[in-house]
Amino acid sequence: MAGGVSINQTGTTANTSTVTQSSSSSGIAVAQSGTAGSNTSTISETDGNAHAANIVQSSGGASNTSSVTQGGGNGNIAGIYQTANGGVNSSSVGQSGSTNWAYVTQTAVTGLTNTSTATQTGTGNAMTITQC
Amino acid sequence: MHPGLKLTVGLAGLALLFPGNSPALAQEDRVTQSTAEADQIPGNIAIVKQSGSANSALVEQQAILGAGYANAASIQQFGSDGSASITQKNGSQLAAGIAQYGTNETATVTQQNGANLGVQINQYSNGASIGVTQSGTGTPNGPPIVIRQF
Repeated sequence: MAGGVSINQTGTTANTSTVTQSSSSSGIAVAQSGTAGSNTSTISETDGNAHAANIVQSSGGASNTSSVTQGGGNGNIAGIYQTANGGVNSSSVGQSGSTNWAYVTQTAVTGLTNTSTATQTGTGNAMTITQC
Repeated sequence: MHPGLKLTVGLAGLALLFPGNSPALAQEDRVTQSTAEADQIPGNIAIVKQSGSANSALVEQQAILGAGYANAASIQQFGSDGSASITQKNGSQLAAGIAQYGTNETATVTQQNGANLGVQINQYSNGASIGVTQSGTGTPNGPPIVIRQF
């Protein structure tokens, strides 16, 4: 069963989203932009294969926080893009199964801290982290 | 060493940046802790832990604002045929640590244009290979590199 979720938040204060899925071949896309508040996104996908989760966060004055958990399947993809201008970027990725791929790109415009943590369990997994 | 910097990335290699704390941080049980803390100095922190075979990890870090910023990366791989790569550019503190437990592991670290460079690679592996390239300034007698293959 295929599922799809798309979230777009453009609030000037805090944006928060939480998505939980347990179906295969699902796609989740979250876009958050806040000019003053923090962005927080949590995605949890369990069971099934071929999950795709994508989070794009842009904060003008506060922090971005993302968490993606994909468990129990194969061929999952998790992507996190964070840009903070005046705040901190933080991300965590957890994947279990085989041939999963996760990539994180973090940009702290004003030079504050980027933190990324990733845990992958299984065979043929790939993790790419880019920070600047 | 910047007096305000406190980075504990849970990998023995990064203890190189903290000579006073090295004996404690060098303990192998530290490898599994995977904790990171940046205190006062902003920067990039990446921690990757992979279990299984044929996993790959790539970390690229750049302190775009230059001196005064830190890059710290830790990759732990438990399994065979893993590859780990860390590239770090610019900044006043560059710390890279890789620990691999398995066979046919590959580790690559490149550090460019930074000061206080630190690399430690521990491989508990057969058929392992390592490549390290550093450019920049180190204290007191050049960039510290520690490579251990077991």
